[in-house]
Amino acid sequence: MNILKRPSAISLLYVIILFELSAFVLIGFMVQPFDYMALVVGGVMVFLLLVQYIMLTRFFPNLDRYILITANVLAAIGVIMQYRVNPDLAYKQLIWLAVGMALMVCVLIFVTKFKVWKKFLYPLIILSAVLLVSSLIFGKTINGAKNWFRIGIFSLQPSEFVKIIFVLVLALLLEDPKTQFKKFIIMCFYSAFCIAILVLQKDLGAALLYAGTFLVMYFVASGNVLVSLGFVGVGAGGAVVAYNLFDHVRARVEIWQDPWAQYNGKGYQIVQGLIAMASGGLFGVGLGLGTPKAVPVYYSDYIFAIVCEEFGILIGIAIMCFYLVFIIRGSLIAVNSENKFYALVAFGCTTLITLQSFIILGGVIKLIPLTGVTMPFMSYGGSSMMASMILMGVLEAIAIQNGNRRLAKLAEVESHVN
Amino acid sequence: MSAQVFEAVSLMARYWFVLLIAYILLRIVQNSLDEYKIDRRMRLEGERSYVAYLKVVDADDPELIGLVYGLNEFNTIGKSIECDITIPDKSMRKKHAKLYKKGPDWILEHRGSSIVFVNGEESNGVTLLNDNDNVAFSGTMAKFIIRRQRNEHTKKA
Repeated sequence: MNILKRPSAISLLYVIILFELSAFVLIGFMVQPFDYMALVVGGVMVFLLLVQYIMLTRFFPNLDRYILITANVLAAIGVIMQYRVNPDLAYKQLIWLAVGMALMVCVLIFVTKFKVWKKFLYPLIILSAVLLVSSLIFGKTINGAKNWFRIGIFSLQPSEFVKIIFVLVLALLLEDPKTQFKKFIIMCFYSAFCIAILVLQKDLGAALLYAGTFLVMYFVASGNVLVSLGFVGVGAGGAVVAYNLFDHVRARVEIWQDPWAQYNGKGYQIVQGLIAMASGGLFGVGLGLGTPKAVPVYYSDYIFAIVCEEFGILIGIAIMCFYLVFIIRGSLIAVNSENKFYALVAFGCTTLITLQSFIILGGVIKLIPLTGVTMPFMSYGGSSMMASMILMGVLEAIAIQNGNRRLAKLAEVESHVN
Repeated sequence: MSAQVFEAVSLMARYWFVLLIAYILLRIVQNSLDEYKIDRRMRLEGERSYVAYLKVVDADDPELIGLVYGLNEFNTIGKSIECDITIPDKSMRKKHAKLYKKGPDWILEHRGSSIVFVNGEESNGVTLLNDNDNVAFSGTMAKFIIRRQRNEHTKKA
């Protein structure tokens, strides 16, 4: 039956490979003898992309191909920029990318097999609370936020992983929101607790991300406009309180209102980012011709600014569109899913990825106050890459379940009719 | 490659990159849309848990032939999109007939002046339907199939 066949995306992969290879060849010519390592990195990228795509579509034919490809394009742009500025970071990022892909496959298999989430509601709540509190107490401060764990040579950011648990817990609690008042109370306290700890850690981006995800998931699950508006009001009130209580919150808002006033101080990063984007124009200054090192934290939070500088705002807009693809595909997966729990998990994962990209993109283009979160799939960073890949693994697992269920139904119909 | 040549190549290459990324994006959107259409069609045909089916065997519009419509316990059938079963064939009335289950029996009730044949005989109002009956709504012919229960099905097989 031919309508079961999903359209192949393999020809699209050739275009992505062409993009990756031409970018890496160009970067190779940047230095004076030709830099062969650029070709090696490009080759590894292409290898990872092909292996991942071919293996996954072979074993899981109902996989959602397009979020996989979108994530790969974003990761490719990220690695290209990192290699162009600092090859050492790009090597590490490649390792994280490979680890992330492996992790994604593990999560995917686990989520398709694991069925008894309900029993793990309270263990998950306790686990996430312990992780957050211990990172508040024992954490190391990197880039102004006290949210890092040091294990040997690695630094881990617990909030990146707790957000996945956060979505699972919310989905479990919201599965049946109308009947159980107790669960509603638990949910409110749990979310407020997580967000408060993140604000105390000075990790405002993550706090905003958690709060936004909570709001979106509550609204999607209950459809209750009044209570959702109430939560918006509580959030706004909390923001005002935080603004008055904490210096670091006030500093962020002041920088956002007028970064040029503090050009030599805290506003330097925003202004440099804006200048980088402005100098890029529509088509960019050309790969290898910009001055990305002038932007602080170019490899992580500000990667969008340097992409815009060298590739141009058109590709910047395309990157935003790639995140839009995520929203649409993720929502479709959620709509088609088996029960409300999976629908909420899928929607929560989509919200996490896209809201995070919105928070950092908005910060970089000075639409909202800058709060340090990473660009999913693009930024340098092991925790971020792994967390994004895990989120994608969960989404893919739900997509695979949907596809399998639909195929089984269709087969049943066929067996009855013919 | 000297610095000037590199600069020239890089300036050219930026248009190439924009072109490639735009192509990738548009292809993803296009393929996504195609897949969505297929998904929707699959859902129409097989998603809900139906108790019976109508398989179109003859219609004015050749694309409709072979389509399987799933039936619930109560269905309205017609050309209008408001009907539970929308068969967009020219010869159909907007609201052509009702098909519902009453106890163990399936009953086909046609509306007003619309014409319904069951196994070649014109129905006068209400007709009892059996498995594998041929139903003709004006020019649209469909086969009525009752879904077997799972255990019955395995026994037969």
